[in-house]
Amino acid sequence: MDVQTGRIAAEPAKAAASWRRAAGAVWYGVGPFVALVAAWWVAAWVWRPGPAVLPSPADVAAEALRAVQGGVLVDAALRSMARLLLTAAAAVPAGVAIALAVGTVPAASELLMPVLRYLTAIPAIAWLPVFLVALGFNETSVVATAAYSFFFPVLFNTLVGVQTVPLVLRHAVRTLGGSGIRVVRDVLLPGSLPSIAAGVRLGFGYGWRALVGAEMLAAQGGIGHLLFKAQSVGLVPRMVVGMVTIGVLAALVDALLLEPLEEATVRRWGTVRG
Amino acid sequence: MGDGARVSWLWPVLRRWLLAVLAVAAWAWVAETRLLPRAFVPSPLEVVRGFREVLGNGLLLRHVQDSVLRFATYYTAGSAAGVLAGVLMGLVAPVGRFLRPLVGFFNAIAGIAWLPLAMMWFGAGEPTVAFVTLNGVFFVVAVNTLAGVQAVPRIYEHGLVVLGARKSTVLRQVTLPGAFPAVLTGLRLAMGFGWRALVASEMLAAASGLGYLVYRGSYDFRYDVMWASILLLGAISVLLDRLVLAPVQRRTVERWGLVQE
Repeated sequence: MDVQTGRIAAEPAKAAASWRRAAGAVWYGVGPFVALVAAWWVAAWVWRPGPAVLPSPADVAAEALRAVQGGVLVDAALRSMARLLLTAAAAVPAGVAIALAVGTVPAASELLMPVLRYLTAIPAIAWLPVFLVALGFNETSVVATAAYSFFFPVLFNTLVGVQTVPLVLRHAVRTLGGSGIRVVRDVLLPGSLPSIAAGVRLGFGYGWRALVGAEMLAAQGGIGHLLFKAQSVGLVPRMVVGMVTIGVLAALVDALLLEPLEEATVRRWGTVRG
Repeated sequence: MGDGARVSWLWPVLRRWLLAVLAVAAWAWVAETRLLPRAFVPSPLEVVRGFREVLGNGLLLRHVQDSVLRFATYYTAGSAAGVLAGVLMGLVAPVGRFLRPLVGFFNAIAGIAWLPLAMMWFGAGEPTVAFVTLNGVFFVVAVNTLAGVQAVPRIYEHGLVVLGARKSTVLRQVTLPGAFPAVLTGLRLAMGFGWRALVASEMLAAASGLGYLVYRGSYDFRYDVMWASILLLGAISVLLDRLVLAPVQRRTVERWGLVQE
């Protein structure tokens, strides 16, 4: 085959392929949501249950605009995100630290695991009344509830990571004169990073739900509180705005932060073969 | 069988429960020292007494029964629908690709975020609890099933087709078994998410169930009832996992060698 003709023929084909890829990305990225809004619009228009039951996308868009202009929505979103950050700052180091302890000290594992398994089975939201009495009707209780939810997936995933690091690697460092701290720092932590990232991602899923729930019950400000307040005055369009915001924030955190983090650790520390 | 055998059997059990025993002891100690208000931290004995009291008039049993029945119903229905929807979406590749972002989005807001809207639609009561729990279960199962079906390499399916297999055979022999580990992940996650959604909606929108009892207990300053309910929530959830999910996992994924360890 002639190399020259091959190249000439490849150029337009490549351009067409990249165009098709871009179109595909738009179709599969934006298309579904356009279709959803269209279907919702048609349903609201045909069925006409009124904005108190099913507001049309236009009602919700107008409400969103009002909420953004009044600063309510941005304020609520920022507050929730700030709480989420606090939650992660408490839950992730604690989860990783305890997993390292449980994963390296067999006695700690035997003692703690049954209790930890039991505690993770109790929904965090059920602890909220306890926290409210013990810690007060304040931020701490809300963040503690979310952190309780966030903590366990981090812990259990990290533990899997620590336990799957080949024992040979630990022994190698010890044989070469490395201290236990070096084993943790140079072997166990890097080795379990992909699992930690996966745990953080899952923990976020739990923690975010618990945070919204706790905000509904006990917080001042935040998306959950916005939803609850809208419900108490029957403002359905605002509730839909709040729900969409919850979904968008979750999707953004996951797509921009957690998924790249997981991908990066998996690629860097190679649990992917080939 | 000498004494050694008995001790070697006893020791692991003892060690397993050592911390639980220590925890109860510490709890009793905290209650005794009254570092925290006595009403809020009743002693283990008082919680047991509260337990017996509500158990005695059949109250607790009814709440436990309500929660468990609700969960069994909604979890079964939600996950069956989720698996079905996930498989159907995944069977037609373009449809699956198109719908996946939507399922993912609804999964992100599944559960408690729907609670206020469901209260507007159905009022406080059973339909609200059902709606919130069902969608907490459905979407996480659907999104995982869909991902599982999509991840089955096409070449296996094509291989069977080339060998003259019918579509139903391909589905039964390749697609479903291939997607199964992902489906199981979805079912396992749904157990966590669904249970949490149920408890949260019971707290806010129901007049029975353990979630309601926790909330009501704290409202009425019956902290012994609250603690008893919290402890029961954990116990039931552990039992569900041990008795339902773990055996399923043992019998399917591990037996078919789909787990690499």
